[in-house]
This record gives sequence, C-alpha cells and structure tokens, in this order.
Amino acid sequence: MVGRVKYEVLSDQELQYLKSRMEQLLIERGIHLDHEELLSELDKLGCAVDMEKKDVRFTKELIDRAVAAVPKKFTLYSPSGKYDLEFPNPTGSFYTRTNTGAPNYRTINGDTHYTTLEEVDEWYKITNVMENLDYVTLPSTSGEYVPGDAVDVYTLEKALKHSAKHIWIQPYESDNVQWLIDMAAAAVGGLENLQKKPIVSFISCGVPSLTFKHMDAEVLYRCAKAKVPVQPCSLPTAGANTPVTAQGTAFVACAEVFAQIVILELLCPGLPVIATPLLFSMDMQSTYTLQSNTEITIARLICMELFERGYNIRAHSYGTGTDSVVLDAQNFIERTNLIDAMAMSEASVLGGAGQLETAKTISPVQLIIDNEIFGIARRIRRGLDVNDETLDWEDLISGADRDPSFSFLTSEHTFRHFTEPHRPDMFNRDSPVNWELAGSKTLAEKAVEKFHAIMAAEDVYALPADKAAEVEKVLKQAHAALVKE
Amino acid sequence: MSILNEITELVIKGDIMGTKAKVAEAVEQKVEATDILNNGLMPGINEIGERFAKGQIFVPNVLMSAKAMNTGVEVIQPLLAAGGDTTIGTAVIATVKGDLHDIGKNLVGLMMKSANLKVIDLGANVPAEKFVEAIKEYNPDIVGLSALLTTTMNEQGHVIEVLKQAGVRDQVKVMIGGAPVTQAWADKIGADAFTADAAAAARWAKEYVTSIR
Ligand code: B12
Repeated sequence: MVGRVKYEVLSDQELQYLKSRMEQLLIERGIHLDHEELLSELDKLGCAVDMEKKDVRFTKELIDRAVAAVPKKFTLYSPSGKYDLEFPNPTGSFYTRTNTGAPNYRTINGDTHYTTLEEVDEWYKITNVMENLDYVTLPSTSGEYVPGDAVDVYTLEKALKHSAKHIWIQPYESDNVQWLIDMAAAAVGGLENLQKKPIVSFISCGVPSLTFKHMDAEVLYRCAKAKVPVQPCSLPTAGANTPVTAQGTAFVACAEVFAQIVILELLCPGLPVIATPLLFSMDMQSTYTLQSNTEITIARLICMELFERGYNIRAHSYGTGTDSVVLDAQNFIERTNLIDAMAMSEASVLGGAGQLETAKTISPVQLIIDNEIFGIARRIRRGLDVNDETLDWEDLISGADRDPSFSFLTSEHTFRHFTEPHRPDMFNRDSPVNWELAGSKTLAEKAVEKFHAIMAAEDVYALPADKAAEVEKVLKQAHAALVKE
Repeated sequence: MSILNEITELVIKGDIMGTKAKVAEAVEQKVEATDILNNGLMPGINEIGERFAKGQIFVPNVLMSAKAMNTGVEVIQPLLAAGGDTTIGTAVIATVKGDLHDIGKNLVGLMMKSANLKVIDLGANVPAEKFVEAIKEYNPDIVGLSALLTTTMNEQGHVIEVLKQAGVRDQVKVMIGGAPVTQAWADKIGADAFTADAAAAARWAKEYVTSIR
C-alpha cells in the first residue's frame, strides 16, 4: 500500500520481467523441501514432487491459483483488542514492528549481554506504550538463562502475558512449532478463537537458494493446518549465498518468499500472508554481514514493489536498523535513510525497530527513538492534500492579509490547522538559552528519561489470570516434552 | 621476467588458467617442482595475504588467487616428494549441532586454505561425536567450531567436553567463532582461541601450526 509520496524503483517492463522470471524459477528449477508430510500433500495438490530428492516444482496454474487465493483484506489481531491491524492499512500508511532474533540486549547503562527473560518483560512494557509501533516480535533469550531447547516457548509465554500488541513468532526448533501454536491458542481460549482472531503470526524462512529446512517447512505445514497467518521470510546475504548484485539477491529472496506463499495458499486458501524478504550483503573485506548497504536498500524497495504492485500481496522488510554498533551518526544516517526510503515505497510493514549492529543487538533507548522516527516517516508517507482549504485560498484571494488588523497567527485558518505540523516528542525545538536551562539534554538522554518514566508507570496490559494459567500449563507441558537435560 | 616471476604474477592476478598453463610450461622447461612451489606459487599467495591484511584487496581476490595457486599445485603435485603434501597443517572445521549457518564457517575454511592449511570441512549441524571421529581419522592440529545462535553456542562447550571424555582434547587446539561468540565465552568453555573474523582465524591457525613445526 502506498500513500501519496512514493518511490517507483521498477519500470512496468522490469516488473513484468521479474514476475515472469520468478515464476519460471519455481516452475523449472523448483525448491528443495525437507518435510515428508508437506511433500506428499504438495504431490496430491498437483505439484511435481520428487519424494526421494525432496524437490518440488510448481505449475503456472498452481501459482495462479495460489496467488488468487491470497486474501486481499485481512486483520492481524492484538491480545488487548486495541491494536488490531487491518491490511491493507485503511489510511494508506504502513505498520511497524520491533526487531526479531537479536541475541544481545543493550541496557540503558550501555551494558551489552545475552538477553534475559526479565529484559523481555522490560521490552514489552516499552512496546506497549510506543504509539508508532504496531506489533512485536520475540527478543531472543539465550540458552544461558533459559533451557536452550525451548527459548522460543519461554519467550512466547512472556509475550502472551505482557504484550498488548500482535506477536510475530520466530521459532528455533521444529519440535517447538506446534507448542508455540498451542500456547498462543491457550491465551485466547482455544484454537478456534485463534483462527477467528489470530493474535500471533509466524516466521518461516528459506535457506538461500530455494531450500527449506525441516523447521521452516514445519512452520508452513503446521500454520496452514492450524490456519494461523504466516509472514514468510528469506534472509539472503549478497555475495555469500546469493548473487553479489543487490538485484540478484532481491530476486532470490522474492522467489523464496513467493514459493512459501504458494505452498501456504495451496494448502490453506485464503490464509493471511505477508511477503517478508529481508536482505543482507557481505562486506568483501571484513566479511561482516551488512544490513545498510545502499544498493540493498534499493533492492528492498524492488522486493516491496514486486509483491505489492506485481501481485497485490502485502509486503514487509527491514524499515530501520544499522550496521553501527552504537548510537552514533552512522547509525542515524543509516536508519533514517532506510526508514524514509521504505516509507516512500510500497511496503505495508517496516520492521526492525530497536536494533543495532545488523540485527544482533536490541536497545530500549534505540527503540524509543525509532518510535519517534516512525512518527516522521508516517507523515512522509501520508503526504499533503492540495486544495483551496489547505492553500488558505479564501484569505489569499480576498486579500485578507492586506488588512493591517489581520495576522496569520490569529486567523481562523491557522486555528483550524495549527496542530497539524508534526512535533517529535523528544526533539529540541527551542532556543539554545532554553535548551541549556532545560539541562542541555541530547536526544539519547531524553530517550533514557522516557525509559525511566515508562518503567515507573503501571504496565498498561496483562493477560487475564485465567488465560495466563492456561498458557503456563502449556509451557510446563512443552518444557517436559522439549527440554532434554 | 623469469618464468617463476610470471607464475607469481599470475597467482596475484587470480588467473587460474594462466597459472595452470605457466606451471605446466615451467615443468616442461625442467624447472624443479619445489622451485615452482617455493619461488613461483608461494610468493604470489603470500603477497596476496599481505595486500589483504593491508586492506588493499578484497576477499574475492584472495579466493581467486588461492584457486589459481591450487590449480598450479595440482600440476606439480605428482612431482613433489613424499606424496607432495604442500600444506603447513590441518584443521577440521564445522558448524555445531542444531545450527545450519555455514557462511562464516565456509569463509573460515576458504581463508585457512588460502593460508595453505589443509581443511577438512565436516559441514553444518555436526554432532560432537563426529569431531572425535575426525580427530582420530585426520589427526588435525586445529578443530574449528562455528555457532551463530545463542542456543547452539552451548554446543561448542559440549563438543569440548566430549573431546575430553574421548581423551583427544589435548591433541588439538580448539578455535571457536560465530556472530554471538565472544572471548569471554571462549574462556568460559575452555576454548584455545576465538577470532572475530575468518582472516584473523586463518592468521591464528597459520601462526600456531608454524610455531609447532
Ligand atoms: C544468513 C543468516 C541466516 C541464513 C543462513 C544461511 C547459511 N547458509 O548460513 C538462514 C536464513 C538459513 C538463517 C536461519 C536462521 N537464523 Co539466521 N542469520 C543470518 C544472518 C543474517 C547472517 C549470518 C551470516 O552468514 N553472516 C556472515 C558470516 C560471514 O558471518 P559469521 O557467521 O558471523 O562468521 C564470521 C565470524 O563470526 C567468524 N566465524 C564464524 N564461524 C567461525 C568459526 C571459527 C572457528 C572462527 C575462529 C571464526 C568464525 O568468521 C566469519 C567470517 O568473518 C544473521 C544476522 C547477522 N547480522 O549476522 C542471522 C542470525 C544469526 N540468525 C538468527 C536466527 C534466529 C535464525 C533462525 C533461528 C531463524 C528462523 N526462525 O528461521 C534460523 C536458525 C536455523 C538454524 N537451525 O541454524 C539470529 C540469531 C539469534 C540468536 N539468538 O542467536 C540472527 C542474529 C538474526 C536475527 N536477528 O534474527 N539465518
């Protein structure tokens, strides 16, 4: 979906070219899928399946049928009922979400360590009150603090108990997938309720190129069976496991995501899906994985356009983030550049809030600042209406401003519109004198203050006790089944 | 330019076919195989190593030069004494059980090969027992363990424990790496070395095997 201001990074001809090449890839080369049940289901549905090699090829008819089955409208629900997300966004805006999977947590004191369960609580207390943040993910707790076989299950328990907003789940093991679904169902009084109002959606993810390991195939399979929405991902690293060109990498990522959507819609027509290609590149000197390379940013927009404009399928990618390790100038150049570009793209979701260090560290201070930047980006996406009222035509044509008693400060038109300009909460908008009087605070310092205010306040949401008890029951059962000690 | 200098230049350029042809030509001209290796091929790859360390060239340059060097070595291999092993030491590397991330591990392998180590790559998602078997089979100097998840890092510690139980821990140096891995973690689980990237891993390995030869 787009607002008024938008980038177009593909010509119509390039868009058609990409679509036909992507379909050709799935029809002629196909995918590799490590999942017996799913393979035999796809076989029955008419795909060309080699059970021995675990290879699947699709036909044009199947692809068309799958694309036609993708719902044009759907809603991702929130546990609190206050932050339900209608797709496409009725205002033409995008939604935002937090970063998923980062192993490290940077506390407000600057200490960085593997994420603990207490910090997960802290995280949701913040996300609950960030007005420009629409849904959340699971901070990645570590096997040092939580049983290593069940970190996702333990973290989801926290999310279900504390997050007022929709939860996007990243599983860590095949065996855990069904437990994660069961636990989400327990939080809403059963699977039927979860199907009616999905408060969670899942991550599945390809291994470039076009390979799906058992866990991800299991996500596709289980979610299709349980009718739980999926936002299928691909995480290619340009030059390392996909072509070094950003275009080539975008292409492989889209094809992987597309293959997952086709599978989901063949298995469960009408299942809500959001295409989520998440591109990286490798620095050819340090070999470090980068998120913020400029060509990759453009390639992200290519991906968004391919799905949104090419297939009318909602699309989602990184919409903030940095390769910098700290809150420095590089960080803010990279993330604002990306946020703005994505805001002006066709993207329906901008992801990655709160992350530093190429998605390996999350920081509450960064999250609070990202919330602020998203506020700006939303307005950029919205653009401005141009008409007599917004021009103040009446006053101008009548020459009202020639009258000495007239002032724009006191005009009716000003009174009607003066609240419209955006005033980011934590930005300085005052003279140096007053800024000094107020303690000469930087943006990061104000974010820390906001953090303390949030922590001191009551949490705005908690899962009702009876539902929480049901969730705990599932956690116990999952622990017994999964944790090998 | 002597033919050996020409070989050196071709390795530096990463010209695979050119290196192969030039080495064959040198063999025809009855240049000693060890001479081709030590004064033609090796200076090329060493120069590449230095240029890379100075940040003058990129990883693909290094890898292409290593390929060129290896095709050259293949030509003279049968002529070299003692089976013609030209490597300076052996490393067994793998990504640990439960973890499928192999890009970093592959790079470590490629860079170690470029530093003239023999590399046995066991792949990804490799259980601890396989390392014991590989140590017995290949008698390596180094075992390299890669882990990219905070959940699978624990497995690095487990592998070290299993090596101890099998009585092979002291035969090798254990190197660990991967995005979430730190020196503190290496200390905690008793690994011998941690490096943050593949180039440093290859440097450490090369220094170590050279020091014990
Ligand atoms: C590419 C990628 C993938 C690809 C991997 C493809 C492949 N063939 O390897 C795919 C998509 C398959 C994938 C899957 C998953 N991933 Co992943 N992935 C990444 C990503 C983006 C880049 C990793 C990479 O290749 N880096 C490039 C290489 C060159 O860097 P490197 O591995 O760190 O290696 C360097 C050094 O560490 C060192 N080194 C590495 N190994 C060794 C070994 C030795 C001995 C030494 C000395 C040095 C050394 O040298 C290397 C070269 O310089 C990272 C994010 C990031 N920013 O790093 C996430 C990331 C590691 N993944 C993550 C997650 C969560 C997952 C999944 C669980 C997601 C999911 N639900 O599907 C699965 C897990 C699958 C599994 N069981 O392993 C998280 C980890 C979170 C955590 N708690 O630890 C990260 C941080 C991303 C995130 N924020 O979610 N992933």
